[in-house]
Amino acid sequence: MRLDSWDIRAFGALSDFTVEGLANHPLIVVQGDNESGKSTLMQFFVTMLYGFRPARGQSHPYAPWNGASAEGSAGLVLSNGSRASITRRLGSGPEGTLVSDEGEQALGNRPLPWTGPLSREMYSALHAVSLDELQKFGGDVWKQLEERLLAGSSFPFLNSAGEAREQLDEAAASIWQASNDSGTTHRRVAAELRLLHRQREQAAERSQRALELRTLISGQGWKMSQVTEQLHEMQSRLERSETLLPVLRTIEEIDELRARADERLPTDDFPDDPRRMLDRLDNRIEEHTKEVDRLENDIEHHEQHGQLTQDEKDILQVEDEVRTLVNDAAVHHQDKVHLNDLDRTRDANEALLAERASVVLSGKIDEGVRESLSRLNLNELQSRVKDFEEAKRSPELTGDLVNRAREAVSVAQHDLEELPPADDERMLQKRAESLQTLQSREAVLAVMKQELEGTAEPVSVELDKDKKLIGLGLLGLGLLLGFVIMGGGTTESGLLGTLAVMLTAGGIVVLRRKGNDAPGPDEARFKILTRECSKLRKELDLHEYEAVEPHLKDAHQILTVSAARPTLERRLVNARRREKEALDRQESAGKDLERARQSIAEYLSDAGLSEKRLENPGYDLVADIESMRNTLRDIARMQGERGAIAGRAEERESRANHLAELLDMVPQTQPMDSVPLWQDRLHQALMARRRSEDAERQLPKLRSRRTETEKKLTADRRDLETLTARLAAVDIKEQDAREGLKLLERARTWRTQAETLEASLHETWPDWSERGAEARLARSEGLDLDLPTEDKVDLRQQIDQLQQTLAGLAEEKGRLREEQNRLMDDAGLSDIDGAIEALHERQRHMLRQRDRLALASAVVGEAAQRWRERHQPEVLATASRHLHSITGGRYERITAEQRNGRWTLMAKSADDPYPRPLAHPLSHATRDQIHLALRMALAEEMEGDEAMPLLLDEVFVRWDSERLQQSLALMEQLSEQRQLVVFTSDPEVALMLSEQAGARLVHPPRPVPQTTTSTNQVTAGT
Amino acid sequence: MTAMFRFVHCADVHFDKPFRTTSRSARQQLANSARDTFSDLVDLCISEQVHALLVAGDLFDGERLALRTEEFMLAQLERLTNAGITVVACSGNEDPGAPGLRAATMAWPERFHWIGSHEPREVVIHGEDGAPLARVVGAGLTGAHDRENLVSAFPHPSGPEPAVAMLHATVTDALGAQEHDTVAGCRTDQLADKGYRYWALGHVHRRQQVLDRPAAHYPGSLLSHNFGECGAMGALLVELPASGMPQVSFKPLARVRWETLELDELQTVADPAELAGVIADAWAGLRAGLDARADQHWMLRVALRGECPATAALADEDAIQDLAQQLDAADDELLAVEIMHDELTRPVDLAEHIGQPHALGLALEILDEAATDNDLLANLAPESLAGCPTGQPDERHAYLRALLQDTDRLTAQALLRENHR
Repeated sequence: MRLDSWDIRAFGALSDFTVEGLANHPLIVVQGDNESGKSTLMQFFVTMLYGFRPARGQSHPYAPWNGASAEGSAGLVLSNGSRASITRRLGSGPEGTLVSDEGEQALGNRPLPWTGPLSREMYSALHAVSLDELQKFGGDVWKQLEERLLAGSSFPFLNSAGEAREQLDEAAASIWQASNDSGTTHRRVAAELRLLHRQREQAAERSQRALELRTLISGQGWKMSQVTEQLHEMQSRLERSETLLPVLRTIEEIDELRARADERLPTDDFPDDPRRMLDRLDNRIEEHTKEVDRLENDIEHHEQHGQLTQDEKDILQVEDEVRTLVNDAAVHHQDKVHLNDLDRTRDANEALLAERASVVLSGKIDEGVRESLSRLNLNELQSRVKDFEEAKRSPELTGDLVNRAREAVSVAQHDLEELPPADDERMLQKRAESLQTLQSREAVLAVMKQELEGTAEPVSVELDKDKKLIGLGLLGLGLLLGFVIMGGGTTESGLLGTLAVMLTAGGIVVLRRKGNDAPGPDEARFKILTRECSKLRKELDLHEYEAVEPHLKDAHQILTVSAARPTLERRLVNARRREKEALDRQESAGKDLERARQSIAEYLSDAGLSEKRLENPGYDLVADIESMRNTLRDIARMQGERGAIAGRAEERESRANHLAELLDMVPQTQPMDSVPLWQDRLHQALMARRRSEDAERQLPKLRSRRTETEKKLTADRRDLETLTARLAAVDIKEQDAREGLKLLERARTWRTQAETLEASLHETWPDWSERGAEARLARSEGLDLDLPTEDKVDLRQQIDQLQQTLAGLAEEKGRLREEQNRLMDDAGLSDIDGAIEALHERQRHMLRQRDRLALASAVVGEAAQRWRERHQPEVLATASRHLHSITGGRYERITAEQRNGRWTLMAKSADDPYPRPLAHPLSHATRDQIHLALRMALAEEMEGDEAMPLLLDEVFVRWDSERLQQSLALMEQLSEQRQLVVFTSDPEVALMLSEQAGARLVHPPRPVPQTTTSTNQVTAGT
Repeated sequence: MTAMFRFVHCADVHFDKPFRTTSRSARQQLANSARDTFSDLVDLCISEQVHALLVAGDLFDGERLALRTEEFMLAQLERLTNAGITVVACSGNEDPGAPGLRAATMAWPERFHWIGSHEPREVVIHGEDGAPLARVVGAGLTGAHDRENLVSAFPHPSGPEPAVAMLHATVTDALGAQEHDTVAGCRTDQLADKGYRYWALGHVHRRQQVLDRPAAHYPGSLLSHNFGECGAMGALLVELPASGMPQVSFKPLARVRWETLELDELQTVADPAELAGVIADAWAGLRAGLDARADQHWMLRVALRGECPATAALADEDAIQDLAQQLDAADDELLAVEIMHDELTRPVDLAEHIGQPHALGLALEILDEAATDNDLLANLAPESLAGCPTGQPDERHAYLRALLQDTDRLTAQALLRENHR
């Protein structure tokens, strides 16, 4: 495969860099300064062959400086002469297209198919030789290189097989070694395990000891129970002597006391305190006797005071009637007083009525009048009086309207009389017109005079037309206003006249100015006007210099007043008409008044009213009649009321009389006067009846209580007799109750003493009963409870000894228990076994890992061996051919020998019968040549059918001219089989290769800054 | 109507069996939690008002049983019997019943029935009315390696009451049976022939039902002792009617569960700190999916495998310890964290190198061949295998073949230079 062309669109610092026609050149030299892009170009070639790596644009180390996507193409000529072109681009992802005889196909980021088995790494390692690599050819590095070259690891991404095995073996040995295991992890774990096993043995011993201790503790417990039993027996003996005997003696004393009491008093069914009971019975009998006597007296008293007298019974029979009359007595008295009051009031009203009647009526007030007055409808009367009063108050009737009408006629007549005569008014009108004319003309004259005296200013020609119009307008307006004033005669004519004069004068002035602009003033007209004015003044009887204005004003005032004459005349006519109307209405009102009076008189015709009061029947008449009617009504009401009260009083007195008859009393003049007496009698009777009722209630109770008390008295006497008899029975000899009582009390004292002793015994020995039984049993068994003092001392000594023994045993047991607890607190077998098992598991993992490492090491060794078997002979043969050619036959071949377990490269020169190791004294140059020869051989061995281009990057930097000359042969030799691309910054080297080896010389363009792009077309080299 | 026979079936309590962890504090906490778990079992029996507790062997771990543990165990059993619950326990291979051994020296409480011989013994369970409610027939192992099939000696049930058989034995077709020594080996068909309504089995620590009719259950061990016993552990609550199938429900009781978290997708984990986060997240995710007690505590093993950029940083054992302590400290419910990282490698692109004519390509080729070429594997094997000391050819061969797993990555890691994959 040969490179024919490239077109770098953008790649790192390079852009738009195109080279063509390279396929015919087996040697291509790319010459440029440092940083000129030679290495970039080299990576471009690799990229064209294998694709982009990494395949992401942002992180690609040769991302174009100009910010574009990395992109380029290359043309290839294959070994069979066919051509192919490859285009690759790294946009959002890698893209690639291959065009060959088989057509166009998408390549993606895959390598070209002709790269064969060579991976990118291997191509970079074998076909791209750099100065750095050659510079390392020395010392140990060379040895490594030897091994790499000879063990299939001649690639920069691989450790040598020896290094790999050394690393694996070292790791395996750090874990476990078959012979000398010291220092290994396994050894350390084994040591830990040994320690744990020792601890386990100790734990097992502890466990065993703990079990033994359990047995020992159990034995100690048995011994302690034995000693305790003995101790208890001795303590029982001592206790019997010290505690059973006093108990027994006390029990016997108790029994003695109870026996004596039982003898005297076998059964004690007497009350707790018979003596006190005797006294209490005596006292109660005495109390009951006294109570019976008191009750007898009370009964007798109630029986005596519980009867009513006949008078009391009589009055009580009419109790309700008496009570009613008592209640009515006060009312009765009030009614009597009220009747008197009513009589007095009636009399007063009658007097009042008579007095009113004398004023209103024509005669006395008899029943007929009273009846008539009562029937009167006051509302009707009120209505008629109201009509009368309204008729009386009518304004027409009073004459006010007539008077006001007459006054208006008088005023209108007076106003007309105040106006000037009609002839005077016409003359005054004519004088006012003349004054007006005079005033206007004198105003014109004044203006003309000023003009004639030359005081008027010139006026521009342009304003002529306008001025003429203004002047005519003002003049016309002034005259028109003057005529209106003269014709209208209004009150404002003075001012308006002045305004008319001014407007007229102004118009004249304007026209005059216009006229001035015309050629020449009219003095004749001035004179005519002057004469006319003088004439008018004479006619008006005005002095030459007397002002016109005041006269004109006075004339206008008079004319203004005269203008009201028609109005005043109409007003006088109207006033006279209203006067006549008022007189008519006054007459009509008088008639209405009389009709109203008559109506009232007719209505009151039956009431007997006096004529005088009917002449002017106003509201006072209504009031008087109403007052009389009220008085009459009061009199009637009082008469009714008096009748009712008198009736009730008579009814009471009738009942009083009837009651007096019932009580056999003499009738009184005022029957009701007996009521207080009856009331007192009734009160006394009621009290007697209450006493009687009280006695009736108390007597049964008193009798019952007397009966109960008598029963108690009887019972107490019986109890006393019984108790006395029983006490007497206690005294068997004398049958004396008092003596029996003493005997009873004595027996009870003995029993009390026995109980006291028993309580004391119980307090001292709660189990006294059992002790007593035990003591009796012991005595019955013949045991001597009453031990001698010597025996007691001896017993106490034995007890002390047993207690000491027991304490010793307990202490020993505690010590054993403590030891057992201590043993149990230490790590047990389970805990240690857990650690052991865990370590064993870890150990298994560890040893397995060691074996895996050892196996991997063996695999690496096998791989190296297999590589040597497959490739080493061919590589060495090819390398020998290359070396022979490069050195011009000075070296014949390269061989490899295994020395001390490692492979060593040997070279045989023509003048040496034996191969020599590639070491000192071989020169660097020789070793470089041998290395290149081997690299070429490896390349040939590893690549596929196509011989891939070889890229040499600055490999001649350190070579002198002689060595360079020698390298030419190498170049020629190599270029026979594959295309060589030499990258160099040395122009001399480039020139030499170009001239002597016919190399195609290419100069990379100067890298452009990131933001600029340029096209560099390199079309030819030398 | 005959009352329902209610009982709790447990086995393999293994009092004082070692807890396999290097952490001393964890071992102590585990020992305490084992006692708490047994106390919970007793509470369960009392609260469920069962008639009996059946312990199918290995109540304690032989001579390892500490005196203090024995005292605790007897006190708890007495708590049960005081509550009127009959306890029947048969001896297993770890607590065999031969005279002179530990079980024979114990002061068992009343209403506790210890069956320590091969000869089957019947215990009648009485109901509240005093009438026989059920019959429990059990046999015990007398030695640690008692291989005799004891099922054949079981008599057919004698009375009309439901009969339960109890035995510590290896049912050879049970799951995980090969993980334990075979003791009193038998088959399921032999169990079926005996006419018992329920077989209360012990010895295999994996909970399972080995037979439907009659029902035969392994309840699994009451609690775990190592990472080979992951998952919830506890006992079975069984309700056995006079006729018909028993109702069996599992009651998780173990206060501490052992779980293994396997992580093999670590290609993007750059450093130990990030790895700690990945592990914590994965653990949280795993735990969320486990049906655990509210107060559950855990023993956690993290098995790291495959490629991880942080491999080099984890090569130091101190770094692993730091990572474990970091994880442990972050979670109060974790008693201990164990990290396995032997099979962790730095990222290598094996596909890139397979078939290449260089040493790594050839090494991969060799490993591929060795997987099927026994002679090649034997040639490659180290002369001394530390992890396979017996040297038996079959065992050695199986061991070597197991070693091949992940050796390709280990080899590539050794051959590839740093920063190359």
